[in-house]
Amino acid sequence: MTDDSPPAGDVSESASTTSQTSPTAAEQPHVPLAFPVAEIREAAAVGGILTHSRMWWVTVGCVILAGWLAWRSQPETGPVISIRFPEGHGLKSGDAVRFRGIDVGSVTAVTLNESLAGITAEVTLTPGGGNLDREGTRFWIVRPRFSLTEVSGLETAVGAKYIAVSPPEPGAVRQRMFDGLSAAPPDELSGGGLEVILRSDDRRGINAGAPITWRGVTVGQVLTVNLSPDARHVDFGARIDRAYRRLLRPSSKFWINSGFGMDVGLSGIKLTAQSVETILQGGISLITPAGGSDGNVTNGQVFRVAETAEKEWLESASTVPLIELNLPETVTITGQRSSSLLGLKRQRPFVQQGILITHRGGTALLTAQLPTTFPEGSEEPVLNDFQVQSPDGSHTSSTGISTAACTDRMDGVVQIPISGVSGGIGPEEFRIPKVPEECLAVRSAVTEGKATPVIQAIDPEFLEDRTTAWSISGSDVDFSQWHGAPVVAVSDGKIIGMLLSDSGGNVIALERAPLKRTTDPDSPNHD
Amino acid sequence: MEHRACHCCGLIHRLPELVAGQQAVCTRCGARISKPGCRRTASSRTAACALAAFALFWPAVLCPILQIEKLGHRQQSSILGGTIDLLSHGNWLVGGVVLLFSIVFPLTKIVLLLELSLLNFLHRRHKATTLRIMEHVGKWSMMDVMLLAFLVMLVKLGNLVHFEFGPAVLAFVACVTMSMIASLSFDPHAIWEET
Repeated sequence: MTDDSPPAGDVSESASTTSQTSPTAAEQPHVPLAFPVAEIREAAAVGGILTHSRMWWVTVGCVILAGWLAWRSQPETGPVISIRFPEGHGLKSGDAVRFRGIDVGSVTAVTLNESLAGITAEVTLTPGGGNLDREGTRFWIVRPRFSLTEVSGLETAVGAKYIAVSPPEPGAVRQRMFDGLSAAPPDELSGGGLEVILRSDDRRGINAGAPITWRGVTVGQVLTVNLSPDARHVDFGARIDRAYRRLLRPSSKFWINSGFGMDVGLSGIKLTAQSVETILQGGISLITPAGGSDGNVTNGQVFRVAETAEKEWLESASTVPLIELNLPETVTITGQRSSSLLGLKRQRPFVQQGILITHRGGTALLTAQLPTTFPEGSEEPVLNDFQVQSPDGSHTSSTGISTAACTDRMDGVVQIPISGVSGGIGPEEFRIPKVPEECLAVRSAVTEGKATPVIQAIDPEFLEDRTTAWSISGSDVDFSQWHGAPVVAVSDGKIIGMLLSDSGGNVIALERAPLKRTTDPDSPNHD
Repeated sequence: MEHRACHCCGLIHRLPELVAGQQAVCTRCGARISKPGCRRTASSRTAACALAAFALFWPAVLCPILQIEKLGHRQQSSILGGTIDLLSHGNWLVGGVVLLFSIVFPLTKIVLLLELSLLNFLHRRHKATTLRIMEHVGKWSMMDVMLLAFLVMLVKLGNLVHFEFGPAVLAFVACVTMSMIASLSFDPHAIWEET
């Protein structure tokens, strides 16, 4: 307290002091006696055990908090990989690696290669992206692309660049060094497919990315345009999408589709045009005429590209069965489903598919679960009345079948003995599948009183194995009309399951789990 | 008999002998002047808070405090990282000021508080030096100002960029609170008291 005046002033005002004033206070020899004695009051007891202060608990809490924060801020990291790119395109450390729209890693460093021939990006994958560091994974830097038919990667025009990933084949070997692609692979969106070489005399305006069409439907894409090794031809590297690879046979014909035709005659001018894409980019058409040799096309096979289509190709092509499977004949089941809402009974029609199978000499209907009702005074539920329409157009009605007579074949699939129809598919047409495979759902569509089979291909990419069923996810197809449709394997034409479509999603019920035998102990076992 | 100034109104008192359960209060304003063991309580509390602030200081400075996302560019930065960025970009003045006043001085203050309150066996002269440094450094330790900066950023940039606070904010707020309590409960008289 080197500052004199405030305490001295205080002293003079104090009630218990003498009449000394501030200037004189310092001169007094017995100053200490002039100060008041502090009052004494009862005090609360001082905390003993907790070393004089409860604040230590707060300290403990804070230390724990600090430790937790430090522990939490340790980023969970997956594998570290390096990717070499020919060019950086402005990639920076901190940029993301994205797969299917989510971040699976981040770039930690971007360095120039020693040879100056490219850059190396060090990437730390997240634990979730841990399976991407495998041989065959392809990386490329996404940047905006503007072409006549496509605008993509627009978000990277102003925003950060990112590295996109194309996943490896499952079970590939782990790897640390990758060579990135200079641009997005053209086949990114649809994996698989058949890559062939189309040899033409001239480029005829075909660009990489040009569509390959089958009767106007795009079934593939031109990936590369190159001169042939001897420079006498132009080779188009093309890919036929996996879903359409069966269309391609050794006898298939390709021709240039300029997309724009003009025919000037006496009757006037006739213009024919394909899609805008074809007009802008050119295109190649494909057809498989009759009379060619059978067999499979392998990757790298060379086809000649004709300048124009020959008329007989198109004519004979319509006679070629491209699906050489014996599709099972399906029946359509119609009936009324009663539901009660707030005491009101309502009848709603339902339509589902099914197949007839032979069963112990008779015929049974295999279909998705049918609605049941409890008739008056009965404990036993009974199937609602339904009608079965056979492919030949004949109708059979069934009434009052007790559920006790039915057998659960698969989850959600029921086998119902019916009378009045004959025929059916034997057990030899069934097969128990092991892993999701390429398959077709089959149903019959009634047009003008006649039923014709309709198929829907189901890509194994969309199937997820769930022991007793494969669930279909990611497909854009509306399967609501396919409820109860049999599913046929493309490889051998056997029935492997039944498609069930309801509010819970679309699944293919499989005959894989042990059969649940409710009433019928010797239901046929289809091995 | 000892003399002690009231810390509230400045009136100087003589301190009577106290027994347990008693406390000396100011005759004028009634503020507590002394209580048996109160010095130890104060220094214990100071030590507790300083230690807590010390523990929290590291996550506050090193963990990411802000995550800014602007047009797809995501940036995460900690206080120390941001300061180093400032320095490496050549902003020596600003970077140096932030480094000094928000990192070095607060840390020094916390450490010195801890030292003063914990280590009673320091030599008197050493204590005096430490206290002086502490008082000077403490004036310039402006960790709490940074909270205001964050608030300003939140208000001003809220619509332009998307940003969220990282885990360090929690540690930071707690650290500021604890160091404030520590410096409030620190009683400079206590360090002179002979035990």
